[in-house]
Amino acid sequence: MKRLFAVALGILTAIGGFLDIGDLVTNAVVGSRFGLSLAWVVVVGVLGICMFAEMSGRVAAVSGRATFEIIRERLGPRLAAGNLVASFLINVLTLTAEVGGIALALQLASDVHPRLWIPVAALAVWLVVWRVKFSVLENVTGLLGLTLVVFAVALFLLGPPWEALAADALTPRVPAQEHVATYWYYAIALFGAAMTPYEVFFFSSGAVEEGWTVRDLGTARLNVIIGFPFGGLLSIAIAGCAAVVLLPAGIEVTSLSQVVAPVAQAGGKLALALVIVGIVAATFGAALETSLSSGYTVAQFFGWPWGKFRRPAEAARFHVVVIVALIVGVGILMTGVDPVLVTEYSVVFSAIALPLTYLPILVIANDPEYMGEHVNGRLGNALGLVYLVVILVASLAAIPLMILTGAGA
Amino acid sequence: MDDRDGASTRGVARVARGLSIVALAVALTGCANATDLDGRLAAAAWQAASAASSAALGLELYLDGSVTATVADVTFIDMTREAGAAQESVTAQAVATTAEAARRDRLRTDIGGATDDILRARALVAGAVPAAEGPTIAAALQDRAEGLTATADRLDAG
Repeated sequence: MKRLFAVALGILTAIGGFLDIGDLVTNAVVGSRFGLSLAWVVVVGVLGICMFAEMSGRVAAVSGRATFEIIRERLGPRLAAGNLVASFLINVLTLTAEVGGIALALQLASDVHPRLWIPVAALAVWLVVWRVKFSVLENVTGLLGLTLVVFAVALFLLGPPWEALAADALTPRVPAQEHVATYWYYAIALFGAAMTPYEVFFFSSGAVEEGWTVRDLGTARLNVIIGFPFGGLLSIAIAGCAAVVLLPAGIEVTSLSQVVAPVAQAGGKLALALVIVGIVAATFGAALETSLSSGYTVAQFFGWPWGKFRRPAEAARFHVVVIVALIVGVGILMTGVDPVLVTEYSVVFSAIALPLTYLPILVIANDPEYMGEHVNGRLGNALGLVYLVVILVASLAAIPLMILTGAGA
Repeated sequence: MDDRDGASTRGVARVARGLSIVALAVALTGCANATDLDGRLAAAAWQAASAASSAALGLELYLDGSVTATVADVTFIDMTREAGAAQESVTAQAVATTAEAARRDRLRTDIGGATDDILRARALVAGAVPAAEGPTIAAALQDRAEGLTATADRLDAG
């Protein structure tokens, strides 16, 4: 019974913790401009993150070490340093977007300007990282994030033309008013949002934090294989809500207040309250994950003591990196830059850095020295290679498409 | 030692080349899609139309009790900023002929009208305008959105 509860809790937190500000904003933007014609990208992205998260969790459970520790050892310090720089910068950019997302969500609840919420949100993130147990912070934010199921409920309440939505999703095409290059630019943004690198670093480091062993592999697989696809369905529901309410009205999403409007239209103030709680939980949870991931990657690369399973005094440099990442994020946001814009750039730059994250994981998951009998099977490797090609193409195409489309304008 | 220095110099040069490509890309991103006046005016008209339509939706949701005054107010703040950005973009356009100047000024006036209506909606939520005027303001915002969309279509068609 206890094991069943642990499995259920893991799956629920995986669903609730799947969405972050990148998913919320990008799916709403895409839904308001392209309907569900890019839903296939979410499917591709979710399958990819399932595969690589499972691999990195397996590496951690079998070897007892997090991905980045092994990346440096296996690939050498020079290659790993390039990986570290790219991952750290993307982490900080994503963290900036998440802290901005918390502030925007709190503005919806309070009407207080986001710039006043930003330092408060960052301080709260730091306090939780500093004081709260790993399992508590992961489970509480994940479970509260489940309130974002209200997007799926709202989609049903809106009573959309299901056949038209299904046709839109199943026979993707570029809408008449949009350019082909813009379509592909947003396809890459959506792919980057679904496969954000920090999720993998957090997942593998979290496995070490929670002391996973080979015996936990089954539970870890269930969390990923059931939890993430449900999270992906929520992503599609967000796009669906925007496609049903905002697209016909000619509204292009540029703010969080527009993202929640379809939910309010469908379910009134109760649904609105739930979606705001969900956005705060999702962005707060992701801010915790990205700030921790910043510390994980740097500490694991340099071989410093890391993790919340140690007392802060025993992992001082790890905690300093977390604080520095938060301060940098707050500094960027306090310049007055639009957090939604930061989010849009963060998902595209995530896509650019994807090969640096996922290639080493595939290499390590195939190394019998670390994995023993738990190396990837043939099917896993074949799929992994296919995904690496997709990731590489997306990474190479991102900047040219950004230039060509004026960042999706 | 020399070999290592050479490799290090080549490495730095590669990084510098990479960074300059990214910098160029970012710089070009700002310049992209800025090829003709009508295209830029059309983009501003779309942006303002979206803001007006969004404000209309926000006001309708507020009037039928689906959103709180706080959320409605934040929506109007966001949409005022969007319309303001569109207005600034129009104002910044250089024109070569009186016909171009007329097109630019007409659009600036239309966006200004939409901004005024969004501000009236905000005033209504704050209690400074009678609630009975709500449906009229929502309809006006919808008309502004339709007008700006038509303008954008016309400009896009050249």
